[in-house]
Amino acid sequence: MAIGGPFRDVLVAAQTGAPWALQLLYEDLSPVVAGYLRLQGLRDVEDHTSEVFLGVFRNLAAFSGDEAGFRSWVFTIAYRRIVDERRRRGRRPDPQPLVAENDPVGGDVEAEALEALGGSWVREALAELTDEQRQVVVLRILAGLSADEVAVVIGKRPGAVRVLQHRAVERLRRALERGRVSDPMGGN
Amino acid sequence: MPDEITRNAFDQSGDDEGEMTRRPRLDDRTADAVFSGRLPADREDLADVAALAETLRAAASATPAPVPTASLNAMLQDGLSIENGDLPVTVGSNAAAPATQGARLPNWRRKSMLLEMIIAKVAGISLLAKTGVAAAAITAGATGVAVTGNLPAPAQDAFDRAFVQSEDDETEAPTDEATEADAEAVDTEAVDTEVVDETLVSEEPDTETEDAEDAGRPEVPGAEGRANADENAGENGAHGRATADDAATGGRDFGQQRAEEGKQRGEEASKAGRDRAANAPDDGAEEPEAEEPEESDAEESDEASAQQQPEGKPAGSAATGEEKSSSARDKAADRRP
Repeated sequence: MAIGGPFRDVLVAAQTGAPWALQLLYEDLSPVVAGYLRLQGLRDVEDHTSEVFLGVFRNLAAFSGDEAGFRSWVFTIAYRRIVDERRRRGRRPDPQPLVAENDPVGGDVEAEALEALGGSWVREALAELTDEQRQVVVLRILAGLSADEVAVVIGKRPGAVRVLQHRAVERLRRALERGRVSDPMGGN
Repeated sequence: MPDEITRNAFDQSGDDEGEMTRRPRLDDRTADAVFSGRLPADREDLADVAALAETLRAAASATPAPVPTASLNAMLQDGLSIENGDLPVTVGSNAAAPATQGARLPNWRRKSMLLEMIIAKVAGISLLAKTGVAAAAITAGATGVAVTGNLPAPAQDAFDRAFVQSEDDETEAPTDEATEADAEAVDTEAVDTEVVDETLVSEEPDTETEDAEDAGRPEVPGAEGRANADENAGENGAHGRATADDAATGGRDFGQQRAEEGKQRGEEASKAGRDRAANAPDDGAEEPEAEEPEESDAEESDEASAQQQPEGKPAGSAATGEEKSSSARDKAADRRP
């Protein structure tokens, strides 16, 4: 998931407002950001993804760094978006859905999206984790961030992030061993 | 038992390997490999986790980019308009233009803050300043009430006396002038006396005095007596006049009293002078020479000289004293408030 080529040239072009550079950055990172937001349980993932990139592009002139730093910066904005959305949801709960979950007409769009992210077994395995453990695992896997970069994104110490990832791996391993989730290799 | 003593959570000696299995810690290298979807060489137990990560990463990469919203799509199509300064502009930024500040404190809060500010200002000044301001306010108020005559009777009387006294003090300036005039008059009398003596001795004509007619006449005891009497009368008259002036400047009652005294003394002196003149040997129609001191006196002296009797009687001194007394009374009357 590298932008490829001279990242610095793409960044400079994007900072000067070149549409091609902006499109390149969006096409490279938006699927990962959308998957990250989806695995964190947000609804209207497309709208939130667009809001995240609007914030990225509007503040692009203030950024300076390499590609890893840019990815970390983008996911920092996405993480804050998640926090804001959860806070908003806490103040104003979502209304009752117009279509029931088992309604065969409307379907579950988010479930379909999660199915696209590896199937239901991935969702079930991640459901075994706490919110903080899931944050660390998803950022480590999807965003490709290191433990230190994840610490910067979520605002924790690197040691705390390492403890979280260790416990998350152990919990995932035990869940897969007990067969509580279907093994993708063995098939359902 | 030594084995039981040495066994603890950090010491693996004595552990039952089949019962209490231990897994190595997840170091950074192993964690990076697992989250990248690679299976570490010595951690086959993490194979399922590595497979999960690989599946997730592949699915996310295969997912197409989500459909952008209208605003983001416009930005992607048109690019950022850096010429208008949109690039660094954020949603809550005032970089493009100062935002209108619609919110402010409510009016009741602003009024209360204004009151608190005034109180704080007053409390902030020193005690001396407070005392001065209070004293100035009290003085101004009391003065205003006193001017309008609304004070209690004793206080109003005291204020009136003080006010009249201050006015009298202001009008005492002419008194000083009168005192100086008196001093000049005394000096002038001395000079005139010398002039008279010189006239008598040198027998030179004096065009400025009426004694010029008597310049060549011999000196006689009677004339000397008359002259002394007139001189005394003139001095007394002058003294009465000065006393009257002093009385006029000192106060109307006292001035009147002194004027009367001066008048009486002048009359007595003139009478004594006439008696002396009557008892003196008759050398002819000699004119009295006691009027001369009035010549160089103040303007009142000229008037007194003009009223001199043709018989040569020294009544001018008494008349002059009376005039001075009357003028002193007039002055005192003019100076009454």
